[in-house]
Amino acid sequence: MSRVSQRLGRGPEARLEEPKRSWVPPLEPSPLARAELVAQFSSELERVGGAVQICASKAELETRLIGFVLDSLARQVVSFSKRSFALFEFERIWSELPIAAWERGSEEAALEFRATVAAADVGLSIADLGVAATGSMLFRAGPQRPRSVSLLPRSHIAVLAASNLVADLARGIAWLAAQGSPPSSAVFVTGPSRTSDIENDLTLGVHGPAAVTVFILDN
Amino acid sequence: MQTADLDLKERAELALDNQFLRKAVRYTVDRLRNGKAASSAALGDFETWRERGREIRAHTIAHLDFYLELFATNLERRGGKVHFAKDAAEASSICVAVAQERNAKLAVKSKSMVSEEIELNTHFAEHGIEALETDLGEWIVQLAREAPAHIILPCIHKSRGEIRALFERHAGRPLSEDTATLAGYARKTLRERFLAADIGISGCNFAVADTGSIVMFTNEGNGRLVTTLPRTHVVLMGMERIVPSFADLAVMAELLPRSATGQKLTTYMNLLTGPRGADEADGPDDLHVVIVDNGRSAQLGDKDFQAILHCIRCGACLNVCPVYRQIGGHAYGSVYPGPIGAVLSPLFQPERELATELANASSLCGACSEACPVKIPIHDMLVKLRERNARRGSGTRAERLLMEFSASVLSSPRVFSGAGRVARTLQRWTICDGSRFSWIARRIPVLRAWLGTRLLPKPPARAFRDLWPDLEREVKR
Repeated sequence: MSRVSQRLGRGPEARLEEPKRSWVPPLEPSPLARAELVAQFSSELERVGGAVQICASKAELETRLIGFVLDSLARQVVSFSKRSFALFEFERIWSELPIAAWERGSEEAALEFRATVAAADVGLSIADLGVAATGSMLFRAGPQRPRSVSLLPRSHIAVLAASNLVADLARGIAWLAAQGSPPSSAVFVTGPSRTSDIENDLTLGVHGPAAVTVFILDN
Repeated sequence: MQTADLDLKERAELALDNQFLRKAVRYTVDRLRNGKAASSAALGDFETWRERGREIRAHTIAHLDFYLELFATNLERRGGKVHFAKDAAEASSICVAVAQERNAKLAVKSKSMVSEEIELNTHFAEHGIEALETDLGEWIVQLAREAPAHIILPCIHKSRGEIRALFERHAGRPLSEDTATLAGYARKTLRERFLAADIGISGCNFAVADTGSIVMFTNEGNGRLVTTLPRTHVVLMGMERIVPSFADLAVMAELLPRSATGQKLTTYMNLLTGPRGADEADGPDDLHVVIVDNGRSAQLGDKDFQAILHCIRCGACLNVCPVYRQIGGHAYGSVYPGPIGAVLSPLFQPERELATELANASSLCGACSEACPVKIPIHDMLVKLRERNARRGSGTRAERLLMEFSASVLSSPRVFSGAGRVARTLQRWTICDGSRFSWIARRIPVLRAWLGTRLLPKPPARAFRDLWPDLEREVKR
């Protein structure tokens, strides 16, 4: 480190100069109406191979979500903790789907949950935020929100409240920064896992989920 | 392809003979370049973002000591362990020590150029630790025992048939050649290894000083698997990867994917801050960040080359380079190919003779500097490197004599115009554009090299200087 300072010609008393800022990305609330944000988010996500279902009420969302999972013939679903979905007031999901929801507990419980996730077909999560300009969703890890639910299963389903849409990535990152000390993992996910490593031929799902479906609550 | 013992010219000739490679490189760089043009247009006023990006990088590198210290403090506060490595050997031994402490047998890796730089896989193998590349392209390259050919797309030089052959040998059974089958085989095989791995090794695109966060931009998801499943996560970080804050990261996050792959954002943008928290179901128990110098700090304070540390490793300069387009990545014979590699390699490895000739692998057209999302004057640096090489006395004696002779001719208008007249006449009556009396040309080394691939311009009947009096009258009329 002292070598770095020495090379830069910065002695112990050297101070940080105020950085020059010719311009910064705008962060004030976007003038876009919610409907425009929903439309842009959907078209951007679909462009990269994701799917969007827009639901007008909590009841509709729950019904459609259950139907979607049953149609996919999933044998095992894993999800964030039940508590983390409080906003969506799910009632039937927990009994009507073959679902294992994470509940924080002992290290053995965590170990067992990780094994279940590794074998599951579907991961059900809740997005903290949606970014309209890129079709991205933010997932912060936490005691209620394991990282692997949105990562290991072949199909990833997320629920997102339309009120949590922001216009662009700069505003998304600013929101994350405003929540205080960052979580151990925060990931912006933009569509399914992809690679073009074999002769520039696009393939989905090489490591992460091959399908990403978002149920947006726009009530 | 073993190219280690060949010089630049021989490697380039090998590449030029490889028709598949040339077609694949052209196709790939065009795809990436068009993607960049479209996605940067979608951002609106890309130049403004670019200038802001340049400012952030310049400010950070000029205060690198301050920001590195801040980053290290914040990372340690969050339970991460920070290691500083002065060179490749030290960086490798730190990784080996961490792995041995965990009694690790298998390390899964996501893409890291620094790990290529320090040849980590070789060091792990020496200590009986398997280092498995998990990025699809990197895995293919590893199975073929080769080096990556592009910063972003490591295996563009491999055909589908070659990839199938590699996978079949690995699987011990026949596989079909379609992308879904090949990628599916990789998913299944590598997933098992992810779950069994003791240690995960990743690179990092940015490190945020304010929060102690590591930021990774990936598409396949292997980067997330590497940093989620094994109990220990080791990050290899070039010491210049720092950005001051999340607000600065927001600018770089718009510039990097667009410049690299033409995506508005990569599939995953992962911000990792410390090991997993209490009561979390998954994530690593320990996080180690190895901050690697390996020739970087020597560029600080050098007015000509400090800006090379602004580089964000997007590969945009490769995709516009007319030389890279023709010869691909391996011909550069260094970890970092393309224009940026031609600058980085000799600077980071001054002791390596091979790297100094790379400055000549450029037409100095400036397309690289124009493509750079943080405005690094790459082609100016290539000129400076050539100058440095010349001062150190590289090049043949004939070349130096020729240059000295040229200098004396060029510094006097009278000598210049006289010498021009003599040379034109001489050329007209002998080899003309090179097609006549080719035995003469074959005996003169400079002419032989030139005429091997192209002709000389035919000498004009009258030189421009002789035409000028007439032209001047015409212009004035």
